[in-house]
Amino acid sequence: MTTPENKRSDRSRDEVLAGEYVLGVLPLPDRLRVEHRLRTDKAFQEIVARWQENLASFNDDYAAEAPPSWLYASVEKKLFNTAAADQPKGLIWSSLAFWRGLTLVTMSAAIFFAASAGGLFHKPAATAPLVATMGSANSSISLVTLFDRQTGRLKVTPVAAGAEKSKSLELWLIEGDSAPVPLGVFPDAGDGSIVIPPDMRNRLKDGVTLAVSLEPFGGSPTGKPTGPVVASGKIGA
Amino acid sequence: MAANDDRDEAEVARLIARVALADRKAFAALYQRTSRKLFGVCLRMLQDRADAEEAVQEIFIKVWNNAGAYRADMGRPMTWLFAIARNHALDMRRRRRQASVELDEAGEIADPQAGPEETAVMTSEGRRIEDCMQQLEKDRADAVRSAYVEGLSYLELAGLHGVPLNTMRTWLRRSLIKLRECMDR
Repeated sequence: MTTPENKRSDRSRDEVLAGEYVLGVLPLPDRLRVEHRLRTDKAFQEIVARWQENLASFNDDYAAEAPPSWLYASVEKKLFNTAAADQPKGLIWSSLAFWRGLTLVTMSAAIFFAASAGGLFHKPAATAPLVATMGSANSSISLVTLFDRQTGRLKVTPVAAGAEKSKSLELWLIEGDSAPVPLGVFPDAGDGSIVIPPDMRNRLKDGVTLAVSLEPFGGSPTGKPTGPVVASGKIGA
Repeated sequence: MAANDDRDEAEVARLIARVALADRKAFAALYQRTSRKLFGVCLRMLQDRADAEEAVQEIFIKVWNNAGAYRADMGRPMTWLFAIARNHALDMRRRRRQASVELDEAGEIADPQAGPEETAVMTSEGRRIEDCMQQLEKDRADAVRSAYVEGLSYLELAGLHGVPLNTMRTWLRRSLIKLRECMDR
């Protein structure tokens, strides 16, 4: 069934169908079928996105014209004067309320060292986990970050609910004025822990800043933060 | 120019990311920056000012609601916004036409096996579409472009070019295959 030839033919058929969809020549029932498929078929999404990008220079043919001045107010009224839609409650990582509750300002961070059983309130041993609480001034939400030097595991736990589908949270290390260095992308489900790459572990120390940004699903495509920073805090501040 | 465009795209991407976080100021800024272009799309495709005004409002409502779905790795932000606008205008165009026309037109799904030129090989390097368009016969290139820009359906294109519907369908499908091959080359 899935001979290479069949596959190639399916692929070619999909290329044409996606091209027809992007050109816009399909009749409505076919358009709707394509849109239905786009919701779940990642490979097909990519074929369509590629056509969109390939044909994007045709967009230059559209002459820009200012819409009437009343129009923006009308959009705002339709969007914000209506009762807020109920947000489905779900995992913290996929609930919109969480993201909407966070402000974009850099947050004050409360950092403390959690000592192991006997060492409470003592200067921590080198192996004690580092704990940072990253929160936002205008929000009841914060992220508790726990870094275990021995295993290299850094765990972030949101302490109040909320997140947004098809986005990922990416953790960054900022040393002084240097550009942020990516530490990893949090999985969109699970307990919010990621393993810090071994060569980065020693760089997590007092005085450096940890930040979490909102990125396209799977993490920043550029290696630098592209989305807003939703939380940040300094270790040992 | 390219550097300006890049900066512009980066700013639009930043605004979309903030709109995803329900930032109304960013939404207003995004509207300021892009509404002229998107209104231009609606005017051209719908050929009716009142329809275009309605469409552009609905488009920005979609942008607000779907900003979180934008993925930078799936294309540039302006391309994404144009796609939302064009798709919305296309749906409006198709919906306001009569059902009988749609029935006539609802064709079989593409079967490119009919053509010999079907060895699309995926490569990351794409060629400029304009170069590839020049390799198509002029009337076919015109049909491709007006399909995209005006939102014309197969039936409308067939009428415009004075060819049977099936001929137009074959023209465009073969043109798409040629374009894909050319850009992958």
